Amino acid sequence: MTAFNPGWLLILAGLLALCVPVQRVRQGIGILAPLAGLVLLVIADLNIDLSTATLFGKTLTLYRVEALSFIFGLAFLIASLLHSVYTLHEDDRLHDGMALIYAGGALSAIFAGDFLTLFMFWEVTAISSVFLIWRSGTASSYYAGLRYLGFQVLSGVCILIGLAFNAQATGSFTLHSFADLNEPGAIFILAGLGIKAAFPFVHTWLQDAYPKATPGGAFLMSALTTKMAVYALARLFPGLDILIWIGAIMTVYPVFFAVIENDLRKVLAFSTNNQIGFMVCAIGIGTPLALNGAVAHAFVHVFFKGLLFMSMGAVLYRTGTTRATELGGLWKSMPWTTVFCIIAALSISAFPLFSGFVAKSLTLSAAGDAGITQPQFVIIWLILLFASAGVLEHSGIKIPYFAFFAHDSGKRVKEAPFNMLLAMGMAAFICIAVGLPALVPGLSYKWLYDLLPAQAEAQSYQLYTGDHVLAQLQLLILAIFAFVLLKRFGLYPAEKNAVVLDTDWLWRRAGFGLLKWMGALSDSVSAGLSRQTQWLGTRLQAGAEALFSPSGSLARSGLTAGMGVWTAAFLAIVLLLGYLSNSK
Amino acid sequence: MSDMPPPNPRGQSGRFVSRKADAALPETPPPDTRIHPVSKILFGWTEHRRAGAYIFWGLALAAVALLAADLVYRRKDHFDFAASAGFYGLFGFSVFTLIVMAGWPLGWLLRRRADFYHPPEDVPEHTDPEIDANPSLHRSGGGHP
Repeated sequence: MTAFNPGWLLILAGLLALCVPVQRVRQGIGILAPLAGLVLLVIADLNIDLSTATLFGKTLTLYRVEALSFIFGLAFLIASLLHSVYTLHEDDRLHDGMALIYAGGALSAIFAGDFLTLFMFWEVTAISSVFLIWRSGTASSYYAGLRYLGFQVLSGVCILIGLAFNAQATGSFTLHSFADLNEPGAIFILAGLGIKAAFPFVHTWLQDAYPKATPGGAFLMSALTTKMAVYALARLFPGLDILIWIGAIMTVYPVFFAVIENDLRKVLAFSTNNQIGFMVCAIGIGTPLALNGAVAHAFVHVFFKGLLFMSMGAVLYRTGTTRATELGGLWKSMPWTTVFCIIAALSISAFPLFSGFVAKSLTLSAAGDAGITQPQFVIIWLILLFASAGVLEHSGIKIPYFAFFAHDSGKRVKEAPFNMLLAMGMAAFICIAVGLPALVPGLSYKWLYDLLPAQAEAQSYQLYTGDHVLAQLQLLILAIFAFVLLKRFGLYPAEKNAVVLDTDWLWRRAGFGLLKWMGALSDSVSAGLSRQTQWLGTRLQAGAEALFSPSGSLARSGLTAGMGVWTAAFLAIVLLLGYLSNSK
Repeated sequence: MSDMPPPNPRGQSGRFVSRKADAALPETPPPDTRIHPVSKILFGWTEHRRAGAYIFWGLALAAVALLAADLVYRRKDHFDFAASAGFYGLFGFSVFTLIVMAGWPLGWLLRRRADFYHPPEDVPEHTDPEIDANPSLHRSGGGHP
């Protein structure tokens, strides 16, 4: 029983849910499957191959739990449970089933012990998660889903090419970390993971897809898709230098886009880029403390970003929009949602006593430690500090302020359904419980630190010191004061109902326009060619007819009859010679 | 002409006139009866007319206190410049201001009309079926520019 993969359980539960028309039964499956998965994960033996198979003479490790995959698995299973609770009010069989398959695929991918299994479940998540976008039922969600699917499949194809090169060189599919990008297949695998982690220039699928997903779908996607990539990067490329700068860039540029973005779920998508940047940068630094920071950040991000997406999902559910220009004043009718959103905002901003502080401090300390001996890390450390203030701007202040306070939009709606509030309350509890100092046993950041892969560093790290707390409070409180001053003097840019251009303009407008132009050009060229071909064909046919038809010029002349006689005579001579030569 | 609103009797010349005018045509909207009871307890204070000033001065005091704490508590840090008094506070303040102010030129450069990629759409599925029945949620009435 300990060898039964929780991911497969969720996939089976998802397939079952797809066949069950009764909403209550599906709800039971949706809640019981992640709970059973949690039990299976907790009782699983660590660091041994729990389930294997043989394919083409190669051994595949289908289920293996390690310290790194355990903490990701735990987060994914809790997220799946929260999703099931959050969507209890919905009666959508396809959505319910695909959400479970998606979560199961993500779990199976992180518990894979070989590249081929990782690839297969990587693709399962791509195909199943797109339905969470399409179920929004709008034309834009349909096209966003197609673009999302294109990116995700491309990510899988890159991994497939990489694993093929790697298997050819090593003779095995077994997962192993790469020392550098010169190893066979490493560059393709990194490209595949980079697409999934939304590296710069291939990041737009995230801002495109998440805001158009269903409320529950956006939450689940924020919890799983990019975290799978973070897990795989930590597993395969720890300490890869290029990741430091990629991650640092990822933390900075979304901050500027988020300032001018009107759709608050899109702001959260930019915020996801920024937060994944912290994790990627930490993986690139690669020290045990930095890897602990990346993993801890991934874990807490599942819940505080998930909570932000859930609160905006609740706003979308009740008001039909998440545009800042159409919101404001919702604290009057959605007080609990407001409270949960503020808790998530405090967490993601890394206020002491909340979960973000627990994780981000590890990464900043790791960058600072590296900066003592290597001067370039001082710049990285400053970039991460810059990004910390940026997070406060877009996720800590902008989201709760423009949705629930600011200008009163006059919208008077009901509070979110109870099940949504319950799921948000559970996520909020985790955001607080994981952030508390070690005063109550089992209810503090120590609980999370006990799960981190590098235990010696986790246990020796002193989080709640006067230095950490004072520095962080200074940064945040004076940044908030800057916000108040800018608002007071009218210097904060007003929200506008507009689209913000990003690199996806290249394929959504320029590329699409180029394709249309090439299509029109091809049509006109082929039309011109058709006319010429038709003229030539007609002339050839007429000429041939004039020559060879029974009434043609060849048939009319005396030469034709003579040629027929001479041809027959030559044929007869050849036959006669052949016969005589054979008879001897 | 009958559709025109009556002229505003509120004067600018004195308190007496203003009181009389208020009595004749109160400009203060009636209390919003649709506020959730929990909202009044948790966030009702934000509607106090001096709430903004309280927040401003409260934050200003907190900022000064945190900066002053650096003078009495000697922080240790990875780098000397980071250990200097008020570094994190000044960094946070200036970086936040820079990020927000960058929104002005970036907005001018990158913002396009809302239907740039696709036309406006109806409310997506997986939303409250009662949205259409709630007049405060109609797009034309609820939004601000």
